[in-house]
This record gives sequence, structure tokens and C-alpha cells, in this order.
Amino acid sequence: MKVLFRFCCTLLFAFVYLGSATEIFSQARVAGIILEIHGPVSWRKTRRSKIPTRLDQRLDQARILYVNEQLKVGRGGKARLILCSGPKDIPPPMDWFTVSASSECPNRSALEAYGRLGGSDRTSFNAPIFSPADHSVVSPDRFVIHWMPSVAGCTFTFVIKPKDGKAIREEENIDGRLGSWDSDQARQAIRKYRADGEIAPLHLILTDSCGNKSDVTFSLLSEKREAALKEDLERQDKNPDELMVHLGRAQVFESYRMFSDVAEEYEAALKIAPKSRNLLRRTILAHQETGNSLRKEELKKSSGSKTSP
Amino acid sequence: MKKRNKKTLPPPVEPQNDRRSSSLPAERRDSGILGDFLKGLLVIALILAAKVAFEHTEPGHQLEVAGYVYLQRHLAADDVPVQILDISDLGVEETHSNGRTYRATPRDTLEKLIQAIIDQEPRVIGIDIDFSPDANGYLTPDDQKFFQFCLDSGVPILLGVHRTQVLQPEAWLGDPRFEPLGASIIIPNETRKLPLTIRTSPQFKPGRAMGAALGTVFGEARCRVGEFLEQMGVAERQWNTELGAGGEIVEFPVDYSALDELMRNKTLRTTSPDLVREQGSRFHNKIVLIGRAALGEVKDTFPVAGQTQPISGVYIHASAAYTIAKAPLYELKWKSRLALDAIMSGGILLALIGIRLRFRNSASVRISTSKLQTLLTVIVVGAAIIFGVVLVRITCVLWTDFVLALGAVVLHPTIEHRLSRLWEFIKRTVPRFFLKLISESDEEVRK
Repeated sequence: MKVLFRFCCTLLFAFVYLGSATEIFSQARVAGIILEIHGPVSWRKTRRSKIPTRLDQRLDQARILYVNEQLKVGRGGKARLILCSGPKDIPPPMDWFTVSASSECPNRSALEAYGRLGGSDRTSFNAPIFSPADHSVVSPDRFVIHWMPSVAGCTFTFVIKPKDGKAIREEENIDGRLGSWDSDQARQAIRKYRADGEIAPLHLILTDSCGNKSDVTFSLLSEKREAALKEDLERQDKNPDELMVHLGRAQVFESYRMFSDVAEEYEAALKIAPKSRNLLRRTILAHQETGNSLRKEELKKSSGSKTSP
Repeated sequence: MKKRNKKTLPPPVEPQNDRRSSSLPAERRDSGILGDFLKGLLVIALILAAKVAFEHTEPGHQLEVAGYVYLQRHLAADDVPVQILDISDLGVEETHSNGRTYRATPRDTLEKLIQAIIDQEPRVIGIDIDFSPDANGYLTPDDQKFFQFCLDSGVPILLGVHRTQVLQPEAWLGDPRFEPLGASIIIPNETRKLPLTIRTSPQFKPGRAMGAALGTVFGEARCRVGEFLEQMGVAERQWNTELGAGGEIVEFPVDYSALDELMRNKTLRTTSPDLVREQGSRFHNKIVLIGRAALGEVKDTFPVAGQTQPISGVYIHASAAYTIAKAPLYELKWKSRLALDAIMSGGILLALIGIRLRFRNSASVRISTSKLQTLLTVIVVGAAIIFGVVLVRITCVLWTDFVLALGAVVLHPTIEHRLSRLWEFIKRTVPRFFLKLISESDEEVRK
């Protein structure tokens, strides 16, 4: 009886695990496109998705279809697909039509391994994340994600992972309008990654619900370098002039390639000397380095009113 | 004997073999030459095998890349018919329509720029942006209108495709109507060869790649020597590379000699149609490539052998277009390279043996094998450098393993000498050692 129970449990676990794994994997399994739709046509991600989406005749044309996605054509409707297995017409009225694995386009992975995009797309630039800055160095204790707020109100998912490794932290359902995400768990995960002796750079991948994806790469400050940084900063903090403290700290951060911190220090200095044109220029450059184009443009616009050199 | 020979016949100095053979009867002299010939053949075979094995090692690969870079430097770009319009200053626009958010390069600005270029009568226009639809359909609600504008423009226009290139080409831009516009903008990890066509399934027809398609529409250039060698089955201009199971990519070698010219003099960075009109002559009768080219501002940069900094994707497509339109390149087939190696070494050996046979009975001329071999090696290597390297612009053939091939020819005499000594050593020591091993010791005899 005990053996039978264990067997059933294992079977159930395998079923649930494999089922979900297939679903995750199927996200990238391109199978075709919607050539045209007429009348009521609904779409859902998988058969388990509760709420179907009603497709728009004009806006949803050419939509890429993935394996396991489902379409349903209502009375008087029609859907024509181009699948990798061939053209497919879905007549009305019909139960849910599933894009089967047999329709999957072959050799996708081989093509991905062969090369990459040699042109620009929406994610080639203007990556909304500016902290950590791309190709910068980050101290785990200071790790906070900052991005240019999404006016579209998309929901963000952040994944932190080494290039070819497993995700060390995933943060889901973050409101894109917030502009920053301060997570203790993320800091802990990064600290643990460093404590485990890992030195490979990390990727912070942002995927939003509006279909955009971007990423930044950053390295972690080693414990030894972090101690040296603290000493260098303490030396700057002893300066009685507050403005000089920030400028000195900015210089220190720059030497450690901690660009987001450089920008923060210049911002703090700019508050003390808001009319310094030189400081403004440095702050603009610091934001350009991090990729914070919004703040950069804002400062550029205001630079006309600044007077002192 | 040595002294007497020197007195009676002063020059040239003979090697030991010939000195010995001169006093030998003619039959034994001939058999000595024949023995040298067979020994030479064996050494050639050994060296070729070693070369082939070395080619597959990392240092061997590095040497081939070095040869490739050296040859690329000898390719001089002249009359580059490509003009780049760098639109790095044109950002992605976020628009909202019907409750949806769209992020894409603004189509209306692109349309105005394209119209300004069309007015200058270019030969073909390519846009190095991924226009393929995504999981939400077309990237903007105006995409179909924009595609139709491109179709009706009267000038061949190619639009970049990346996301959907795994599908059949008629679906690349979401509708078979737009198939003539689609061109893949994939760039392989190894940029020495770029794709001409891509086919992910044997059931699909091949889809075009941007650079090659631009060059083809402009008009393919010809190279007579290369064509002749291709007809002879010696060289190839295109390679069929397997893509997974059943897929296929046709590739061609790329001439990057135009890169400098493209970056310095053939790039106009603007988003203003007026400036395009002002500089109209730059676009007239040209291959025009629109894309984001500014290094440090784009993510699509790629390493190119021989270049110190990574190169933006748009310049790689431009180099591909230039290669097809102006400077086709061929590469020697693997078998031809092997045959060439054998011909060079074998040629030296045959000439050496021929000359030795010709003068074997001569009393006045005695041949120094080593000097003759050096002279023949210099002649063969010199000729190979002239035809294979210096005249690469005329032959259009990239003989990328010339460093290794010529190295093998140059090292041949040394290797042969070392092998002979090794063989002598083996002949001397092994039988002795073997006899010692199997013979009875004195103690055993006594017993």
C-alpha cells in the first residue's frame, strides 16, 4: 500500500512538473502566424488559461503563434493561419483549436546558435534600466533597480542570472510605473552568489507585459575591493566641504566603474551648486553613462538657464 | 677522397649522398635517386597528414585566421557603391492606440526619409531594422500601410526580418503580399562568411539575407579567374551549411576591405529628409542601407577578424552587399588546398629528382641536393606568395591556409633531414636492442 502511494505521488509530481515545464518551454516554440481573422476569434495562452482574449481583426493580424496556444472561432468568424506545418483555415463554429507541437517551426535553436540580430529592434537601445548601469560594477549592499517609468503601465518581471546559468533571483508583477525596486531578497541572492565564489557577470533581464525585453550586464564588487571602496569613501567623507565630499565620492565611484553611484553623487552635488555649468555637464555625462536618458534630457533642457561656469 | 674531389672539381659542393654516389656504378646511383624519391614522397605524405591534423587544432585555426586577415589587407576597396544612412538619432517611439502600447521606430519619419532617398534614384534600399511582427502582431498599427508604401515605391526596398525568420519567407512580414520586402538581418557568430539564403525547413523556399540581397539587386560582379577555378571544381563561391536537421544556410566569404571607406566617407548621420536631398548625389545609383551605425550607441556589434573594434551590424551587411556587387570572393575547396600542398611539395621533389637524373652521368656538373632544394623551395614559395597572396585582388581566391601550407614547404627539408636521422637511429639501435632482448645471457648459457 505504501509503495503504491509513493508511486502515485511520484507520478503526480512528474505529471505536474513536466506539464508546467512543457508550458514554460513552449513560450519560445514558434509555430506560425495569424494571416487573417474575421468575426469573433478568441485566443488563449494554453488550455489552462481561464480568460481568453478576443482578437482584433486589424490589430492582431500577423500575431506570432506558439505551440500550445489556442484559438476559437465564433459563429460567422474565420481564421487563417500560416503554420510551419502548412497553411491552416479554422472554420466556424469550432471548439478550441490547439497549435500542436507538430506545427512547431524546425531548427529554431540551430538558427539561434548560428547568429544573432544584426540590426536594431525595440530593445536594441533605450533599455529602461539605468541602475545597475550596463557593464558597471555593483556592490551587493547598494543593489537597487532603477528604471525609466513605463507610462504604458506595463507589469515588469526581473530576472537576475549569470549568462549561461540559472536565475539566482526573480521578481514578478512589479508595476512599471514605480521606477525603482528595492528588494532585500535580491540583495541577499547577490550576496550569496558572491559568497559562493562566483565571479561571472550577472544579467538583469527585464521582461514586461507589453512584449518588451531588455537587459543589462553588471559585475559584483569583490569583498576585498568593497573594503577598499569603504576606505576610499571614508577618506572623502572627512572633507569639511560638502560639495567636495560629493565630487570626491563621485570620483571614487567612477574609478570603481560604479556609474549609477557616480550619477547619484553628482545629483547631490548639483543640489548644492545648482547653477554650476561644469557640474551640470558632468551630471549629464554621468546619466548618459548609466543610460538614464530621461534625466539626461531633463538636465539638458534646463541647462539654458544655468549661468555660472 | 674528399680532398681529391675538391681539387679536381671545385664547384659545386656536393652533399654526402652525391659524393658517395659519384663513385658508385650508374645502376646504384639511379637506385639511390629512386630511393630518395620514395623517401621524399613518404615525407610529403607525413607532412600533409601533420598539416591536416594541425589545421584542426586551436593554433592551426589561429594561423588560418592570421592568413585570412593578411589576405583581407591585400583586398583594396575601390568604388564602393554603398551609402549608409545612419539614423542613430532616431529613437524608438512609444505610442498608444486602442488600449495597446506600441514601441517602434516611427514609421512616418522612416517614410519621409525613404521618399527623400527615392527622389535621388538609388538602385536599391535596405533598412536594417527588425520589422517582423511579434506575439502581439505588427509592431505598429501603421506597419501594413508602411509596407505597402515600400512595395509601391518603384525602387526595390528590403526590410529587415529577425523574429520570424524561422518561419517560411512568405510569413516573415506577416503576409505573403509583403514577401518581396523581407530580408533576414541575422549575422553569424563567425563573420568571415555571411548568409546568402536561409531555409529552416526543406519544405520552405530559401529566404534572402539582407546584405547579399542588396548586392544581388544592384547586380552581381564577376571575377573571371575565380569563375574559372569554380568551373574547374577548385574553388567555391558559396557554401551550403547544414542548419539543424534539414535546414540549410548558403554562405559566401565576405570582403571587408571597404569597411574603412564605409565608416569614413560613406556614412551620413541624419534623420532629416532635407539633408538627404541636399546630399542627393551620395545616394544616386547606390545601394542605400538605412540603420543605426554609431558605435557605442547600438547593441548589434560584431567582432570581425582583423578589426580592432567591434563593427556595427549595418556595416557588416554593407560589406556583404559590396562583396556581391563589386568584389566577389572564392575560397579553395578543402581537397584543392590539399592538392595544392601536395603539388608544391611534390613539384619540388620532382624537379629535384629530374635535375639529379639529368646530370647523374655528367662529369663536369655535380648537383648539390641541398642547395637545389633550397633554390626550388624559394622559387615555389615566391610564386605561391605572388599568385596566392599578392594577386588576391585579381584571382579573387582566399587561400586562407597559405601560412601553414608555405610553412610546410619551407620546413620540408629540415623535417626530412630530421626524419632521416631518426630513421638511421632506429635502424641502428632497435635491432641491437631487439637482439639483446631475445639473446641468452652468459649465465643462461652456462646453465
